[in-house]
Amino acid sequence: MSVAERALMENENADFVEGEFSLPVTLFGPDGNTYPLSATIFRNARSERPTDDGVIVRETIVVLRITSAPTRLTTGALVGDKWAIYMPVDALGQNYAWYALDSSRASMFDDTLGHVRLYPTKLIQTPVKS
Amino acid sequence: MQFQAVKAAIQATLTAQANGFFLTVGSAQRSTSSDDLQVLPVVQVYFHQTEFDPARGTNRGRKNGDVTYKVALLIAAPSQGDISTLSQNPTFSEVAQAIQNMIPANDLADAAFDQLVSDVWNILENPVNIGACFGLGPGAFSNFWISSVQKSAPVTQGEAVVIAGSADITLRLNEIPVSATPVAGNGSDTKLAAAIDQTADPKTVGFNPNVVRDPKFSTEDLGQKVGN
Repeated sequence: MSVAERALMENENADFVEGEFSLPVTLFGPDGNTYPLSATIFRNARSERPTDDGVIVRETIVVLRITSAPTRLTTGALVGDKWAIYMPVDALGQNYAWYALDSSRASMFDDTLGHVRLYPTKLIQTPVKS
Repeated sequence: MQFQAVKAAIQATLTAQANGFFLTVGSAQRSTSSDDLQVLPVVQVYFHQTEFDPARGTNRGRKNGDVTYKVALLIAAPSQGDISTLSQNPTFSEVAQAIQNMIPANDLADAAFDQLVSDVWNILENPVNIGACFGLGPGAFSNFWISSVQKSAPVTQGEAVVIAGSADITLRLNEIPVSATPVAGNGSDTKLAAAIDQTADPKTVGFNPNVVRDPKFSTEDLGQKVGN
């Protein structure tokens, strides 16, 4: 693949991930940095069967462009790292929620397309100990 | 049959002694929302099987069998962190500290499941509960034993980590036919279901053979239903 072809693909990638369907997300890294980014967010419900019983789980997938994402997140060295994500939970971006990312949920990289897919869990406030 | 009353008594005891830490249901739910499980873990108690040994019992009297009940355990947990700090324009060090103190959902779910096993096991194996046969009165059953407890691998997808497992309860029961004349069953015993009050004191939940069959329902009714 030529450099020109790669550049064209990267432009299309930016248009897809960070274009009109994108929503603003904020990543809070283990280094203390805050990263405002554009991402495409997919939300769906899936049926899982941990045993005979079925459980419906809500799933959120955050797709980032590798060239825009923090290097620490995209080098694959997530072991021991934790991240917080603040992002919209509806299509219009009016309601936001907190999510967490840790090494128990491996990220999926697609280097060919230049995407990284994150599978965060919901983050709730730690109960205050009285 | 007696195994129905025992299941109801186990369910009533778990409900009464859960202290709000889990929800007890008396049937096998085939689909549960992880959103609900994050609010309250679910414990499902249901009959699994009975093995009647011909060497124990008589042809025309009592039938001595080993009954197995399943106790299915389901929990789900999200991650926890200091959201209040992250929400208020934090400094670098505050972000780093809050991120470091976050507890992954996987760890929380694993600990919560183990605690649920402990809570349920302690209620079921409580000598007072077993001695009173869960309110049915001493001698209602014998050889009570939790033969196994299993934990499945966490569900790897979703906003919350879900862990399921189950415990097997075995006990020995005398089943005594209450009528020499066969009575047609009607599929589900609505009278028995109505007789099970989950909020009732387990000591008051007893076996009443009158509730397990409807005297108004006869084989003639069955004949009319199937069009004979």
